Amino acid sequence: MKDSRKDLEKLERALKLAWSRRPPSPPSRRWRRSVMLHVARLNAAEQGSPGPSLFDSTLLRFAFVAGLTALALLAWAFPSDPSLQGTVVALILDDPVGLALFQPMGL
Amino acid sequence: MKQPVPSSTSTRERDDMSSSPEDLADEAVIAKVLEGHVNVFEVLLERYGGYVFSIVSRHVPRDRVEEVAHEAFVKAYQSLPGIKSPSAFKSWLAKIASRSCYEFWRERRRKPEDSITALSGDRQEWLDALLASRSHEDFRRECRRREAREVLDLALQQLCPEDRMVVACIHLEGMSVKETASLLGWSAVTVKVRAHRSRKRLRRFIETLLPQRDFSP
Repeated sequence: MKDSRKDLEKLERALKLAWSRRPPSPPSRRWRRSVMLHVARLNAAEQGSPGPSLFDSTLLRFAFVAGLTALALLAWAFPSDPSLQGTVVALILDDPVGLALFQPMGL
Repeated sequence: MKQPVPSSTSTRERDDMSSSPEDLADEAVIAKVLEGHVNVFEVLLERYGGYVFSIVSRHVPRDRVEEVAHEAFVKAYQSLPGIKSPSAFKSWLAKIASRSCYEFWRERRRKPEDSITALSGDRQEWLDALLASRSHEDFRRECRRREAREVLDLALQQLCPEDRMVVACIHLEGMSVKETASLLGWSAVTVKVRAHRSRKRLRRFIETLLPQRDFSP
């Protein structure tokens, strides 16, 4: 009985020490960037804009414009295809559609 | 937070702008974030990221620390307009971090994934080695072993999220009832009752680990 009580105390003390001994891992730059991205999106959502994170790269903006131009040219070349024209119009006039198309690509 | 950045700035604001955000006090950083300079929030992340990680890593499994700390900072950002005393940002953030851990366990309770209910061979071995340790150094070495934390996690799993947080704050962190109540946003009476009840429950569970041993010489 006495041994058991001593063992219990020992075990409780060990568990308490184990609690204090867990070394915290330092936050990484990648983690900080992901939090800032989240915060920027929240801020953009509050202000009703698509957010700076999606279009903050010049290359991305260029790719977006180039893509739209290519689609416009295709629509012009094949005027009888209504679905193609519909896509172009949606992309140009309706930003959320553009976002929905580009966001899953990790852009 | 939603207010636009003013086009004309006062002398004091110009002075603030000229100094690097890293050099600003918490109050000034918070004021800037609330003015709409969202990127300045990163200063708080750099300043207190490690602190929040140290709180969170004690309460949640290692592989979930980043996720819960992320949540805590996002909540802090969203609650920033309501902060009463920006100079006490650190303790305010600690509360948010602790409550995020509590939320994590509540969520986990709703969707239990891998619940371990018994001691594995490694942990049983750890328990044997711990109880057999004679010297202080042996004891410390055993406490440092990974299994120690796993046995503790197993014991804490027996408690509901509320009791778990109370045990962690009072019995493991050594905080007072008042501090714990303030941290978790509960009344002191609730904390006291939970502390008493959960300690008894935890002790009962730990006791169940012991009879598995053979005490004969």
